[in-house]
Amino acid sequence: MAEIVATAGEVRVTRTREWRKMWFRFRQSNLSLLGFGIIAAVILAAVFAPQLAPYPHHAGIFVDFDHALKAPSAYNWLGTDDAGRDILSRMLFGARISLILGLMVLIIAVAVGVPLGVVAGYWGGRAGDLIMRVTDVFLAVPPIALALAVTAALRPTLTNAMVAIAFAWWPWYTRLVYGQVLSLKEQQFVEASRGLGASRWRIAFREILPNAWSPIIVKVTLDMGFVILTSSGLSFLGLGAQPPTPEWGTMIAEGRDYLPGAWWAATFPGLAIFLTVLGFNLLGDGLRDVFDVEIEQWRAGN
Amino acid sequence: MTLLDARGLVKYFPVTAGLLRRRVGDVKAVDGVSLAIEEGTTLALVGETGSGKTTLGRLLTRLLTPTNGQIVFEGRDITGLDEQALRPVRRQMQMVFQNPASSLNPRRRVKEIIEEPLVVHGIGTPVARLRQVRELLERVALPPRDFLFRYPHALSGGQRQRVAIARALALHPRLIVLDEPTSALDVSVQAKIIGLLRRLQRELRLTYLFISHDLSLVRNVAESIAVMYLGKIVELAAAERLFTSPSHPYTRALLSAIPTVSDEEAALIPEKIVLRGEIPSPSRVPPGCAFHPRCYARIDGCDRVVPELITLGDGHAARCILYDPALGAPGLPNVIARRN
Amino acid sequence: MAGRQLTDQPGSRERGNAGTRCQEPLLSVEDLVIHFHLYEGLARVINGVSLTIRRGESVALVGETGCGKSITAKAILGLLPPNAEIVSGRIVFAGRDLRRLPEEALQKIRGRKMAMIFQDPGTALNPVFTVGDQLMDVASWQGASRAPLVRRHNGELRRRCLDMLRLVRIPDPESTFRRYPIELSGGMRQRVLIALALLGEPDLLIADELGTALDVSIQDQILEELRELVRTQGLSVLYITHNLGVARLVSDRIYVMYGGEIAEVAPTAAMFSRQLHPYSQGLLAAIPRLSGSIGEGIEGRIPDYIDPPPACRFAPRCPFRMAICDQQRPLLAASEPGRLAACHLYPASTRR
Repeated sequence: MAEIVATAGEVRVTRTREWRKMWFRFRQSNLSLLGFGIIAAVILAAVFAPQLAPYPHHAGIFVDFDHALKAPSAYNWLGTDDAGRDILSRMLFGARISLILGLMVLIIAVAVGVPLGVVAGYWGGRAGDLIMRVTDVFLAVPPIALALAVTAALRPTLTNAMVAIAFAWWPWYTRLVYGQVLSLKEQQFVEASRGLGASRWRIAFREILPNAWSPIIVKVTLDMGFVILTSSGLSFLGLGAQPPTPEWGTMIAEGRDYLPGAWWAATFPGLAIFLTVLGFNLLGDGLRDVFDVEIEQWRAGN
Repeated sequence: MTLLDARGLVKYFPVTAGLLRRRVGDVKAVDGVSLAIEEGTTLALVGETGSGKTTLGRLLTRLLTPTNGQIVFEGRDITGLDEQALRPVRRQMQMVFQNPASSLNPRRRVKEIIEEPLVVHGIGTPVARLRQVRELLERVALPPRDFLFRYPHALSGGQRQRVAIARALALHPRLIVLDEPTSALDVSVQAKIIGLLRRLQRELRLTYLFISHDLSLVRNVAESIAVMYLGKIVELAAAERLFTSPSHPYTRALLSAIPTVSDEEAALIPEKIVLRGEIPSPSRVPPGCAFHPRCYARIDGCDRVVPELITLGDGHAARCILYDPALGAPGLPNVIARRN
Repeated sequence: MAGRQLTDQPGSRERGNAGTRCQEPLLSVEDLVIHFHLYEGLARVINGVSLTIRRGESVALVGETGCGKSITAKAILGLLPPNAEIVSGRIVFAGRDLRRLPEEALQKIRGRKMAMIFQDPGTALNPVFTVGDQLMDVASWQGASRAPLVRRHNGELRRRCLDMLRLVRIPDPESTFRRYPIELSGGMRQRVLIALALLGEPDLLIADELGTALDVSIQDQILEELRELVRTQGLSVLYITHNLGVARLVSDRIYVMYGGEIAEVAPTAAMFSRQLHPYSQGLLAAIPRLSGSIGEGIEGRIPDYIDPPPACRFAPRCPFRMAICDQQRPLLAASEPGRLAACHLYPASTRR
């Protein structure tokens, strides 16, 4: 037993070293760090919204027409909306909604799309063709249009919007993984596993899939931004989060009528969306650069 | 005892064209190969691109299914077995691949890689397996302390091949097919790996099928050598015999092209023979003798008759019309042709 | 601290028609030191490498993986990656120090006076352009026709490209011109790569592992043809290879490289009949012999460039290791006429 414990220590040491190496490489790019910073800020805002928000109760049902549409001031750093609610506080809670929604959508998309892609790629044949053709059909329709159609069919709620977007998003993962699996399955270590008598399930999910995670992680990161954008779009159109939920898109819809006079009501939520999408894009690009180098190095054999 | 016996092995890959993917031809990767490997010995398969040696290696380990022919391993016909039935057989025959960089899963540590065969076949407990992995690493001269938890990318080419060999040994196979195991390695590393392989063969009474394009290497590794060209064996002989009396025109040409490092070495091979043209694609094999368009000893009839593998005596055979007794077996100049 | 190279004795063989008039080397690398900035630290990869190539001479730089031979070639061409730093040394080509030249001047030399024949014919050619397109492309911005404004369908250019294909013994230049790389065999593609290198009428060819992706008989053929071509054109060639058999076939002189340093230099025939440096000996002994023997190989691994051995970089693996090998770096010095070795077994390499 002591032997195993000793070697577990070796495992831990090599693992931390791998992480530190990746962080070092990640640090090389200022833009990546910027993306990381933005997202870290957004996450912190979302997690600590109740503590950070000056008027947390404004996030829910609250009306104060005396202070409606006030310009940014010392009391309301980002101003107030048409119901007198503090925009900053609502935005912080909006961050929660956006992040949670984004996460849920992508978890569903990955959970559905990735296994389908593995099966289609490794087993191929009729099942593979069927899966890929269905995927193609979904891919042919723009995500927003599809999500629109689904939410319109169901009742417009945030949950339904989430389901709708996930519905539109999974095929991208299937296609990504399909391509990865197709090329990975020609690798010799797969042949070696076959030669050992490993079952196809084992090979597909325990040998090949771990090698395909890097592009999936990059894509998830990049997608977070776009999912948030899509859900905000739906909410803006009234098909997602309903008032008084402080979703950024809904906030823009509410504040739109008052442009350009009370510009702050629509602009700040819009900026929030912009920064979040930008942050995830930069972070995703940075991750991709780090993972690419790893792959290059492995390929170079040294 | 004959460990592996292959008869009339054929593997065609269909070539399709058009929208409906109609079959318009075949890539004749292996086109009628029969061979036998004696237990405890090493048989080498030598050939250039398109010779079919790699495909043959995979056929014999049943990573591919033959289009035709029979494979008998340890007295049992394994030609048509499905994956389920093959699983126990796989424990007896393992493969070591050419490229150490891609034959090891980059996401797995050395311990997991070597352990995998045991896990797949449900052998032992985690503790027992760890012990076995350590033993295997010691056997291939990689101190477990340093290597158990490394990733492949932290290993040199030679070290990776040692890991691949350790993995192949995990199930105590009887036959190991080595597909160009040292081609990607430096010559000094190659020497060490060959030394390791020889030692293992002695200690564990292994049987090797050694696939390579390097004739001077197989001279030092194999007891018998089979030279392949476009899917067929064109010459089969004991190692020393192949070098002292190469009988097939292709074999002589191959020998003559070996880059030698001394004049003494150069004296051991025929004068430089430059073959016409290039190797045709296995999807368009020339009629008659597949080698005839490039052959410098071609005679009338070579383009019509597909020669049989003619025994020249003492386990030496060549697939060339020049050794046909019916034609008087003129043979190649400077080569003694022995009849049946 | 870096090893000092004493000039070769004038007795060494000179090749080609240029031998009589040109004593000054075409290429002279002097005490090159290159460091790489890695995450793990500073890798002192190239540790004082010197080599010379005269006009019309074929030189082989032989070494195994990780010895730094490819890096040396890249340094000569000015193609080092961004994390590489040339710490000191000179690279003198046709009398000019390449390190001092600005990028534009370097580009004129690269490809024109000095050309590289790439290693992998499978990937070095662009698959979506025909052979002819690629040849014409290179020929036109080499200014091969010397016309100020070169049009793509320039007849003279085309003729030149076809001549080049003929020169490299491609059987049907006209039809090959129209083909895509994927339609050609490996050997043909390699010949096209050679033709591409020759278009600029270079004085120096650098061949990096030429033919290793090809069948041995094809590689042999191409190397022989190239050797002949080089002789008739009076070109100089630097062959980078790990294969001693190839070096024997094509070169006049061999540099054996180990651990970022030159271990031994000798005329080819001399190198094969007797090796001075223990590493060269081990290397040759490891080659499988037709007579039926194969050496032991060499114990150990290539040095860690971040923490290399203090003096002789081969010492940890050397069967003749002495105390001084860990204290003082052996100089690359003439231990006998026409031969250099960096080893304390030879008194010339040890400083008093």
